[in-house]
Amino acid sequence: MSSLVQAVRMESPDTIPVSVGLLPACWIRYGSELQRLVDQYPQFFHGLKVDPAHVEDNLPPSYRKGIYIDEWNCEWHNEHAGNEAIVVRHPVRTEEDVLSLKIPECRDGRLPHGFMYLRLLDLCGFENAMIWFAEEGEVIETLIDKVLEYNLYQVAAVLPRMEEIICFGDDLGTQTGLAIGAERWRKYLKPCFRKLYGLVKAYKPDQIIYMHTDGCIWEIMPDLVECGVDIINPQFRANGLDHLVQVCRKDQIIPINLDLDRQLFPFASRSQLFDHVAECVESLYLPQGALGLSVELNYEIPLENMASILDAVEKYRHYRG
Amino acid sequence: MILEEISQKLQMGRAKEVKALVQQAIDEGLSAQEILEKGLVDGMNIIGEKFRNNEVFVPEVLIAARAMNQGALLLKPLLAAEGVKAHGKVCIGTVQGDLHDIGKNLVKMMMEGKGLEVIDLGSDVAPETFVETAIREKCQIIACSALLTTTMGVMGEVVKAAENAGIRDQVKIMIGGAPVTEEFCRKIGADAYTPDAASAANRAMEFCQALSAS
Repeated sequence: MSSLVQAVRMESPDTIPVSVGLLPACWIRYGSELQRLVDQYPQFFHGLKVDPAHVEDNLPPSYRKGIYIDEWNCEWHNEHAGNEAIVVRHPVRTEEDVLSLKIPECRDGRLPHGFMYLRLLDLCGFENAMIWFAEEGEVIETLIDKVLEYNLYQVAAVLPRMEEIICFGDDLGTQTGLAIGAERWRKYLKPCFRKLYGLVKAYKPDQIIYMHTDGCIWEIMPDLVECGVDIINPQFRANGLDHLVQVCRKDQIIPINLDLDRQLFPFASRSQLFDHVAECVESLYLPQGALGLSVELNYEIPLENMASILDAVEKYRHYRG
Repeated sequence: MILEEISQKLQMGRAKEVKALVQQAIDEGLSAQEILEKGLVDGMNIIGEKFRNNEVFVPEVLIAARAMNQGALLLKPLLAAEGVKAHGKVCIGTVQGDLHDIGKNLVKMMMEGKGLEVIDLGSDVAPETFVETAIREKCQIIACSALLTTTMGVMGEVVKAAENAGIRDQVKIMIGGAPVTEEFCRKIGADAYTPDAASAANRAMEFCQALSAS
């Protein structure tokens, strides 16, 4: 059993689980130098070998430089190969477009990052979505219903092939909170996540549901747990450590795989990086678990900073209080 | 009374009613500047403050801004005829290499709500484009947005480009976005970092008022 599973189930893992993500752009920039770094930390990378010469050839469509059109007809643009593209052309421009929108026919279990809330914004653009949320009428309800229906098909497709943990990702927050506010989120989005995750739990009650979400979302973390999420991957900076401690440790225990401050990584000194990891672990550690450390590394981080971050999480994953 | 009603209807996002009330105010002989300042801008100021305090959220801000635009369209030719100028001029954009524009659009809306004229350069904007626009349009403020740590460095290039063009003492450079901090602002020599759209609009207004007083 992995230590992350033990952390979620609060079965006192021997060490705090650490997950390290290397965006493909890192391999494109650093190539064999990055492989040498990876080789030095087998405890995090488990023998990962990447041929830098073929990274660009093997990128998923949304990580390639240029334009990509997805199954909903959203047009993604990418300025930098190896980083995720963003949608810049939205297929739904009018209320009539919402009503006539066809749900894509694929039923292959695709649940990309941004599958529910962000999908609404990708389909009609941020401003249209916000205005339709303000109107609280048929338009936003219809749009949500269509995206939800599609996602229910996709979740149903992945049920037979779920591993011990199933991961979902959707950036629900902005820098300072929920764009639509918590109450409106509870009215419109919470029922969607409840249905989607309810489908998973109905199929396998002890299935672990992991949810990544960027942005300031601390005020709805208990709602996500109510929807069936077992462990949340929240950002350090957007939420603030004080809020996370209050919501996930004092009010109730919510397992989190804390996304360490990736906006600090490129600029910090080695001692600042150690202090950051120490502060997080000392504030959130529980002997029974409920804590993981998540590190996302991108190409703008100097290799020596990457090494410092990995040294810091290596040191503090053995923390015992 | 009618100005108060314009402000209130704007806060509720009632675009059609705001438009009708603005027309009524014009017909009653109120000056365009008075309608703008005491009706539309007043309403947006209240919405901006409520947004900053988490009393309302982006949807409310957007429908208020839409209502303001409806009213402002009617006032525009009259303001020009009265010789009324905007409180200041801003060019805004997301920096080169970055396509994220949600935050930038919110800041733009809030600044317009303050009665500032905003030139939107869109996203993926080169440093020289910010500077050339500021020179050509006589902007008092350049406002730069970035969501990524990979692109925030371009903000420093905007500052340098303004220095090289010899306009650094004529423009204020404001920065914002998820990875940006006060410390970073000082490091690159920008004039202001603001953490949210409402604060950005307030700060821009302060800059413009200070510049017009000097």
